[in-house]
Amino acid sequence: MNTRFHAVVKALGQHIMGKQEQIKLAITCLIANGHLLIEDLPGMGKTTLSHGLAKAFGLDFSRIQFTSDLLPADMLGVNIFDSHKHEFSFKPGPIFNQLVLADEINRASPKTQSALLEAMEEHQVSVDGTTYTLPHPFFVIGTQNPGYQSGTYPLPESQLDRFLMRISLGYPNWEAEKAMLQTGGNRLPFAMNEVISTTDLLKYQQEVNHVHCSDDVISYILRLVTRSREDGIYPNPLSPRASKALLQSAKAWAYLHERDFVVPEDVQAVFVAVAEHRLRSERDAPYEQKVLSERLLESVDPIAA
Amino acid sequence: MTAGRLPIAGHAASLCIAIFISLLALSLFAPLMLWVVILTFCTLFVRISLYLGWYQHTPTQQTINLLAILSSLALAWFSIDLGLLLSMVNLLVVACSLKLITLSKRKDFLQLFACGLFLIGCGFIFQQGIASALFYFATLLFLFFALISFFTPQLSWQKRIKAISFQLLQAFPIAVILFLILPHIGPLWKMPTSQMTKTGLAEKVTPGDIASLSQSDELVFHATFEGSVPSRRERYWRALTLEAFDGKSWEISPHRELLRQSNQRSGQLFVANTDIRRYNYQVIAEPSGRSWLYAIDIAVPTTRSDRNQIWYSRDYQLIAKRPLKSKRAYNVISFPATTLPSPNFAMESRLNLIVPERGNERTRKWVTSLRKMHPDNQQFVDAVLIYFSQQPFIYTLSPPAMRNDFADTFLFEEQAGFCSHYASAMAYVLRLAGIPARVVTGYQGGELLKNNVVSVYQYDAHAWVEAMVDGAGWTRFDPTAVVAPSRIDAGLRNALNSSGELEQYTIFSGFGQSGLVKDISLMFTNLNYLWSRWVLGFDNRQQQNLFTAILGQLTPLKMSILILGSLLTISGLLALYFLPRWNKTSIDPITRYYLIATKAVSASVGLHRYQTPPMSFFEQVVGVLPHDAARHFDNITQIFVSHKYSARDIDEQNYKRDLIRMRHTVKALQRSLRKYGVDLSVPRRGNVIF
Repeated sequence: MNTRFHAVVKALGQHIMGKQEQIKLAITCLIANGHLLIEDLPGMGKTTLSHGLAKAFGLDFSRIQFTSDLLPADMLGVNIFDSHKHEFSFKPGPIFNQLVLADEINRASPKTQSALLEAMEEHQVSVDGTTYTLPHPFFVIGTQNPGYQSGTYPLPESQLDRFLMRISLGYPNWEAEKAMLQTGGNRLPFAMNEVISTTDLLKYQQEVNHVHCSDDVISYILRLVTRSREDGIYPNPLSPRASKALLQSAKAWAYLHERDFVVPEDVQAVFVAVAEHRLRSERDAPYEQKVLSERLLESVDPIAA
Repeated sequence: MTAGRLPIAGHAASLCIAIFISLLALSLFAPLMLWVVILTFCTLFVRISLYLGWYQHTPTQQTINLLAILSSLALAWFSIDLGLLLSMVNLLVVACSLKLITLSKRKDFLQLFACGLFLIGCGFIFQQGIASALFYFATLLFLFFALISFFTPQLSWQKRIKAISFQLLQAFPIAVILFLILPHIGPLWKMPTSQMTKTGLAEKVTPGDIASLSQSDELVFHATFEGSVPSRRERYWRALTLEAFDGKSWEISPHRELLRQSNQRSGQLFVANTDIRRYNYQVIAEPSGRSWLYAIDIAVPTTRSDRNQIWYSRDYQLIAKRPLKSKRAYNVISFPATTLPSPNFAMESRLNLIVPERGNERTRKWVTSLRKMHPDNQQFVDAVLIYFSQQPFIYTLSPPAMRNDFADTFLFEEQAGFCSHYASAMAYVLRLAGIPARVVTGYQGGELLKNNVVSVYQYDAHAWVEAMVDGAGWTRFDPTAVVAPSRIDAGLRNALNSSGELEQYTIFSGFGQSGLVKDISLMFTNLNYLWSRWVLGFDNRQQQNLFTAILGQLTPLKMSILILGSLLTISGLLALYFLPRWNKTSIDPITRYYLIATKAVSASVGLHRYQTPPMSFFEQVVGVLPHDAARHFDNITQIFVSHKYSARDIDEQNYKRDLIRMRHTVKALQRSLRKYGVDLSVPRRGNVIF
């Protein structure tokens, strides 16, 4: 793996212990220029991870705590009348940052949710007819509690699709939690240095696009999505946006591992994170999510035959 | 699924095939022994409990072996009685049932599937009607369903049914075309003779016998006429000519039988002199287990194959070379004649004058006195018939028992009976009077199913008399017609109606009713007739008719063009359908070599690749491979990855070079694996730099 990325993983690993794989996926998502959804129970380190990512890449960070009474204007910003200049001036909301943590996204009302998702897709927001461009890079980490918790508005399938990946941190293992407690269980001031500069990040995002993907790998991706459409067991088959996301993530994963071409291993590595939230609707039991994507993965041979 | 072991609980395909085998065992209930059916249902129970998870394990191999030994002993014991065919069918079902218990591998399932197809074929040995054809078609669908459930357990059942229907729809026209155009060659092997129950007329007729047949409404045959249908009065279907009389029963003369055999051996065909007026028809006979066939006199088999298969005897019987074990169609031309020429007058008259020396004294006296009054043969016969019509004879299906001196009792005391009584008595009387006479059994009349189709049932069974009145030949006399004209003119039902016996015979109770029941039963008869005529009876002759209809005048060239042309068209269409798929699955040489290498590696390491990509698979196996094998496999994986996934451009020359390298490396890998083949079970670790 690229030494600089390795340093990021190592630095983040000091704060979130025993979750190397998820950290790597989060970085992959970042350099693939996609948004990340973290789904977990409260207190698993979702906020820590996003905060750490912002610091490691030197990104402006803001956090929006989603609640049921949060309005789109609270997030996007408002026009305020300036009594000195006798005109309205735009006061940008917290979304005008490079890395936005949308915490507990499924607690907000659908109206606010769609305002955020629109901003994610368009990289710009419109307030009172004026369009304001969001900063570059723009990266949203949404976190959500499992859908069955009370007081939540599950994201519709069409909006889940906007997140490139969904990961889930899960409980740490015995060793990791023990180490965490030994270093001091209380919340220390978050001290982390910038490891990769924002300009470098933009450069990496460009380079990911130049990773070579052979016909064999593309046909593997196609076979995966086609299988999800032809077999009757997947309630939500994978869309063309999903296959695009799969290719982009696989490229980023290969880039992260210093390869200039994609191998089927890359597709398999990102597959569960990319496909799991698209295959099954939000209304199904969340802890069965992995079963479907893994089953799909097991039913297709990467070597054409 | 490719690994071989099947899941035990909840495996739908195993349950499906178990249900299928039990269904087939039920349909073969008659040929199977009861304990075999019970065994099959026990295995079904075992499969159901495994499916539901009541048990977690299949019974042990020892249990199955014990069961197998016991059942083969039992089969061997019973096979003496059963005959070869039935014991083989029993053996097959027993084997399937036992396999069903142990069913745990992919191979087992496929074996059971093949055996299931064979069992369906066995079913058709015993039943060929349209109902059983539909039943077996349904079981076939179910078997396919089991197969598709086995290979695609993740599909919903609707999708599976859709897939089966789609493929069957594709297969159906091909099957029809092949059925129509392929030459119908005879079977390549003979079916071992089974001891089938025989139905219908018997070789031996004792007065009173045919009454039991009259109570059966089983179909005997359908006859389809080309052109006009003879009137009911003319429809005397001869089956047997009975010439030996022992005072009580009539049977086929042993002398006649010997004569027939010697003629058959020497191939002396009998050609009857025939008239011009004729009826052309096809008979589809139901299986009877007997070899005689039915036809209106004077009958001649039409086609060459019929002439080879049917012996036309000198007493005007049609005898099939093999007993009717299944439905059989044959084509006949009949030349109706009042007198059947006698092929050997001296011998036949001698044979047909034999009567027991004693008994029936009263009849003898009566005949002697009657003969004095009518020295002319024709007048004597007329006098006998007049006697039958003037005396109060009754036509009844339940006559009193007449044990001793049948003729005396019947003619002078009881005067009640049916066709076999009248025919037997009259032939006896004629013989006493010195007129050669014999009894003929067969069927009379038959229902008109359609304009040109006559169906004849067992209750149409009849017996009549043939006598040689002058030297010319045999003339038919039917005393029953004198006593009960309605039997001949309108059938048994009306005859019984006029004698007031109709209510006793339940087979007719629903017969004359109008309404839905009659319509449905008529429709079913019609359907069965069509099935017999067009599907089961589709033989070379009908095939030729079809070809003639399509091509006009038939020439060998045209026929071969038609057959070859259709075969080529079918295979061409199939190729069009399958070739793209073959192309799609055909793989390039590099992948092929790589797959050969992985196969060799997983075989020796015992670790299947499944859906693992190349590099990860290499990491999985590198620790347990011997050093040089690991090195070779590393090279192979690298060539494969660089060809398949890497960004570099590969020109023709490099490709060829890599291909050669790949081939050599695969060979080297196989060699080194073979060398270490013995101790591969011990994992080796660590001496490979990765």
